[in-house]
Amino acid sequence: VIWLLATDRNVWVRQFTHDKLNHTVAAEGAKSAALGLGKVAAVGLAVGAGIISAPAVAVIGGALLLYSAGSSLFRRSEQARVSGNDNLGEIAGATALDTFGFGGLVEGIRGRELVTGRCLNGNERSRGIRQGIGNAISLAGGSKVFKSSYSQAYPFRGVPQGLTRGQFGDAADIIRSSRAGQYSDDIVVQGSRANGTARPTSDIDFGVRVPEDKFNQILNDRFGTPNPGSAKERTLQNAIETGKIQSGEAGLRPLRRQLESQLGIDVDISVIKQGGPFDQRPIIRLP
Amino acid sequence: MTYQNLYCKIFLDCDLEREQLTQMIAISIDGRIESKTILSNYCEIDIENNEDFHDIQRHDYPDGFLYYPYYLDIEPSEEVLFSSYADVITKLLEYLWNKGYQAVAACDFEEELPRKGGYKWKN
Repeated sequence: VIWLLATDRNVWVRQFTHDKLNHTVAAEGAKSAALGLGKVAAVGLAVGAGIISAPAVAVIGGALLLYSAGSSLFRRSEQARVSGNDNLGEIAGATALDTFGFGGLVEGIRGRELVTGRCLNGNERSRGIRQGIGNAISLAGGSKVFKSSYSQAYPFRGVPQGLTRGQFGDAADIIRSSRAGQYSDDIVVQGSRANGTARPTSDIDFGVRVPEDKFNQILNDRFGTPNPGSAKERTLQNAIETGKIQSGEAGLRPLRRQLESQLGIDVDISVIKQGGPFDQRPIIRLP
Repeated sequence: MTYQNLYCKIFLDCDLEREQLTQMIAISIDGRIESKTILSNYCEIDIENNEDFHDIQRHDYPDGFLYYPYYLDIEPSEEVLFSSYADVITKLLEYLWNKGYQAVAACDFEEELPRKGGYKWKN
């Protein structure tokens, strides 16, 4: 693409200095990009929520790519036949660009069809460029949009990643019957196990959500009044600043050990102040 | 002096893997390992990855200890005397310092530990 742009730099400059065409191309390009990213987001949501599996999406995506390549090869071969061009390299190059949605962009910028060399009119060039811009933005931003929508939708599965429904139910019973359950009944899973990005070695983060007055009460009960200037006083300040009391300080170490033994993975269970810095979504609530 | 809460947290800055660290600490206090917990006659120690770990902030003085890569959750075994429990923590801190690691204890009895637990202490 860079080579093709470089060979026709003057045409490229003229194209993008034409105000009226620029406006149309920008607006239509943005529309095309929004449509493309919207489709990616929809797929991400569907995969995240478990409506369709990732391998199925990969198979469908691969099939669509193959279809795109096949139909482009047919169209470019037909163009080559009509124009008498037997350069297989040009046909293959145009097909490859078409497959990933950039054939129209290159043609629009150059002002000529790739295989036949036919001059394109303003509308044809504009259409090719806006579609190409849309495809380029979709490709560039697609990964982030997919990951984001996947993570947002993952909690709708209702079970943290890597756990069975039975394991999650057992863990919930253990937690609710422990000191954590006395602190609050608003207990959630946060982090990578809640948004579906966990690795096999990732821990599971349980958060015991409490309102501010309860949080302060637990702080008072568990930390007491540390000596001024001590490390314990500094950890107390840190807990206040972060709105998080870690399991050891919160007296939840035995519970953490029990959960680790039950689930076979590292567990972090903390008391979280509602609305504090660590009170973040996405979350999966305990059943 | 008696303390109501004997929980002790030691923040530890060292570049060992957690498994290696667990083995090293178990040997130092004559403890045995169960998963990531070290059990001894005097205390139980869990070795945790510190989720607040920060590679730059851990070097800040004096509060960089909050960002060390590990912390140890330590609680006494049942019916153990406080003096025996404190002796084990003392032994552990001195062992870690002698190895050249930064370690800071945060607990109600910091004052009774060598270097007052290590907070605001400089070589």
